[in-house]
Amino acid sequence: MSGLEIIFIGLAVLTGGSGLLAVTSPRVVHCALWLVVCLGSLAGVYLVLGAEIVALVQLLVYVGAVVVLVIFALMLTRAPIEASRRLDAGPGQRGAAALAGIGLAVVLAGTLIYAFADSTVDLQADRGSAEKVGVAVFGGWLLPFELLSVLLLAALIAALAISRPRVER
Amino acid sequence: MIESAALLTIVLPTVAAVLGLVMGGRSRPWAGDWAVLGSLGALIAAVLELVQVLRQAPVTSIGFLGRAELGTFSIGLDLRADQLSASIAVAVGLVAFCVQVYSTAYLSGTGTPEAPTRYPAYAATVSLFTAAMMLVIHSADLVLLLIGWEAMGLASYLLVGHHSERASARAAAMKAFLVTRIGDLGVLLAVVVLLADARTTSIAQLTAAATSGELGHATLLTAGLLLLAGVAGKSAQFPLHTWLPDAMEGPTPVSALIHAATMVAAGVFLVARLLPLYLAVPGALQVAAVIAAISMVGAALAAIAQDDLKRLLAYSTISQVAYMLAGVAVSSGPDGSGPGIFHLLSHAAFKALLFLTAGCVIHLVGSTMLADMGGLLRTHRALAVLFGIGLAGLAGVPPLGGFWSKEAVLTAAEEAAHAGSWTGWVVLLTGLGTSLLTGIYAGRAWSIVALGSAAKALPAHGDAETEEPHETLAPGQDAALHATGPEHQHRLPAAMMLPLYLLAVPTLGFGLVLIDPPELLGAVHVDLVTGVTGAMLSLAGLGWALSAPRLGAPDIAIALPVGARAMLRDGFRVDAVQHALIVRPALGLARGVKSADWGVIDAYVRAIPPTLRVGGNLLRRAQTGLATAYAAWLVIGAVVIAIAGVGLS
Amino acid sequence: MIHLIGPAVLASALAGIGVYGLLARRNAVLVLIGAELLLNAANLLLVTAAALPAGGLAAMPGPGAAPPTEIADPLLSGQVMAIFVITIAAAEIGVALAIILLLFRARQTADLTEVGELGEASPIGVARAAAEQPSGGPS
Repeated sequence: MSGLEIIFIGLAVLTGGSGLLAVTSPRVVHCALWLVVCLGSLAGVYLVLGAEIVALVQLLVYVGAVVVLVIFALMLTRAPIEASRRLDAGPGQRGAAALAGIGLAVVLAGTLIYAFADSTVDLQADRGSAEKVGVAVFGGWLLPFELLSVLLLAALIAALAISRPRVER
Repeated sequence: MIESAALLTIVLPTVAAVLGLVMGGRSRPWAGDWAVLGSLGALIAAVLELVQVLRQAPVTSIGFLGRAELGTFSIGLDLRADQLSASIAVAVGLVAFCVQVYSTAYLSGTGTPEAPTRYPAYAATVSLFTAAMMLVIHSADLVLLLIGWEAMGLASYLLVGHHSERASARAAAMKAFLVTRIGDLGVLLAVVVLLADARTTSIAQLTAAATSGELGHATLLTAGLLLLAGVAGKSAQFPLHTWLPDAMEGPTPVSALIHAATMVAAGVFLVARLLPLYLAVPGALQVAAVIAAISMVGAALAAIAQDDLKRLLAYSTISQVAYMLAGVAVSSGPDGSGPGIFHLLSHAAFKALLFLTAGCVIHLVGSTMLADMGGLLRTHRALAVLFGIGLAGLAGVPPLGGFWSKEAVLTAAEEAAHAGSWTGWVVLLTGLGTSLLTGIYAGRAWSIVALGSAAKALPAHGDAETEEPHETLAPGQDAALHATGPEHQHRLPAAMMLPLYLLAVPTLGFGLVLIDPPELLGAVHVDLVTGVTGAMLSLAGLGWALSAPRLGAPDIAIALPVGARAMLRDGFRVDAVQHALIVRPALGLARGVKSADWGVIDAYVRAIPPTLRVGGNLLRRAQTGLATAYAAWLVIGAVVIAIAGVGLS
Repeated sequence: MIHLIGPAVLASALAGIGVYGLLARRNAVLVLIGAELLLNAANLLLVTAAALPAGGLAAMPGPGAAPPTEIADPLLSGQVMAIFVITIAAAEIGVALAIILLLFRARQTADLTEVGELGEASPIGVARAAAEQPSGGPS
């Protein structure tokens, strides 16, 4: 077991644990904060896997922007700060949801374990460097990238149009 | 000249039919003019054709519709004009002309909303009928003949069901159509059989091939018997005769047309035209003779007991057409069809006269039942005499045309019998017996209609100056008209009387043709002994029937036992037998098919709506409106697709 | 040297957690958090796959052999895809939160179980229809 793997296992435990807490915590703010931890440690996992630019984007966009948005939404919808039972569904639905989640995880894990078996790779430091990813994005992926920018613009305008208070005439 | 005349006999009535429909529309005068002009034109053309044909050789190929290229066959749709076609064309033209003139008065007025006369459509259909018959008798090719044959079936269906507001008329039209259709199927199959073997449908080539022995015996026998089915259907011979008495539901002039010249004559014509084919296979001719003998006696017996004038005449037609068929069936040489055709022509005259006179009587009385008639001789002497002439022609009283033609048939049968043919004996004996029966029912009709006293007295004849223009209606409506009051004068319009006089002439004097017979009738002659015997038998029957009034009742048929009389009136219950043997199984099969269709095939279709409703109700419950539930469905769908993808890869 | 099975199992776990969050939460914002976790699970798998040599799993050598070193995919599909997914997720969460704000403004709640009117046979819809029946009248 290499050092990388030890680091990965630590990060993975952190990611899984904080993710689990993010979806089970009875306090909304805690949920958002556990999500920060989860997404941040996932950025670490990306780093371990050699995808440094992805990790950076993850930090910037997810941890930076998305989580802030989520916290804003929680505040704006006047979510209760203290622990609340109304965040979760009833025990029956929770049980069913847990069953579905575990089932999905088992099915996925089974498939992936079967697929990957004990394959190992040697990671190179510069595989996910900004230069290489930049060349790829602005080379072969240019057109999808531009389409994405249009999508982002559309989403921006849509979010504005939806959330703006309706003007009574 | 011959060519154009033959063409015109077909084209003129067709044009009249089309113009009468297009220009007639609602306006009666136009429709009537076109119809009368068309039939008059056809008559003139037919006479011209006959005159020419008597002088010159027949023309066997007149271009008409070009050639029909049917795969490996090339069928020439040509016409031919010879003495056979020309003489029948004259009869058809004469009868059609008389019927058209007669109909302008008979079907005048617009009728009632319940029973409109629909005169323009009627006149156009009669014209079409005429044209179809002309096409049949002028065809030089079996396929063209079949076209005319079928067109005639259509026209007869339309005319028999002309009073389509009556259920009985619709049923009669349907019956006429279906029963003749059975026979027509035979004709169609015969054409196919002949085409398969002889590779041609030209009548001239077929007869040549048959006489030279090129055609196989089996082919000829099959084709001959199949054609006989068509003949029995169209000419109303046993066992396909049942449609004819029921077809009396049509207007009376139509009956005259069907019985005298067009429809029923077509069958006999077909046998005469294809006689060389039949001479090659005596078996088919023997079958024809037996059919004719059965029809002859059976129909004459049934005619005696009828209590409806038109049905009586219908059965007499079956009997007389059987004479014609027998006359052709006993022939032994290529010119042997003479007696049969001779009888056909004379029958056309007297039967048209009879039906048109009967139409007048029915028109006056307002009923077709014999019980309602009587005393015609006192009230309408001229009409009664004309009716008598027709009946005398029917019975074969010398020296009327009917006598000569009937005795000619019997003479031919006698000669065949002496030549050793058993069919000759059959035809001779049944023919002589039928002569007696014919005399009886002809005399009975005269006795009841002219002499007897009506249960419903005929209005007196007079006050011609003060009467209003007579408004005539369809026969079914006359009773209502008469019930309104006796002030309605029953003086018949000239358009109804003139055709009667016109038809009485050939009825009386058709025998004169035998003084200088044309080639067609060359073999026709009357043996003295046979003629005298037949005439004596007819006169005996007539006298017996006419003596009935002196015995107390005008109707000789009451002498019959009640059961036998009912049996005869129902035409030996052939209808019931056919109903039990054919109609009921067919209906049962149809019901079975229907229930199978409804219960099995339709069940799947009918199951769709309930299935959709139940399914929809089930799926409706999935629409909970809860976003979480939709997300759950999304996850389930994704998992299922993923598993399916893994499993399939 | 790293076993790829670790990230794969982590991705599966994240997906399961995400599904649980998606299905067990009532608050709309928290449901969104579950959806984000699902997206991240997919991202992790993409990045993991990007570490594979050219030809993917099929090109992996058998156990014991030296792992391949060359990278033949100049497009870096896995990583670029991951970046794209992050972008799309950002757009998605922007629109989704705008909708949630709108919902809150209209209903004063972000509880998904209270906004089931669109359902055909939902208890809420039925109850509301029954409540409106007497007052609404046959209009």
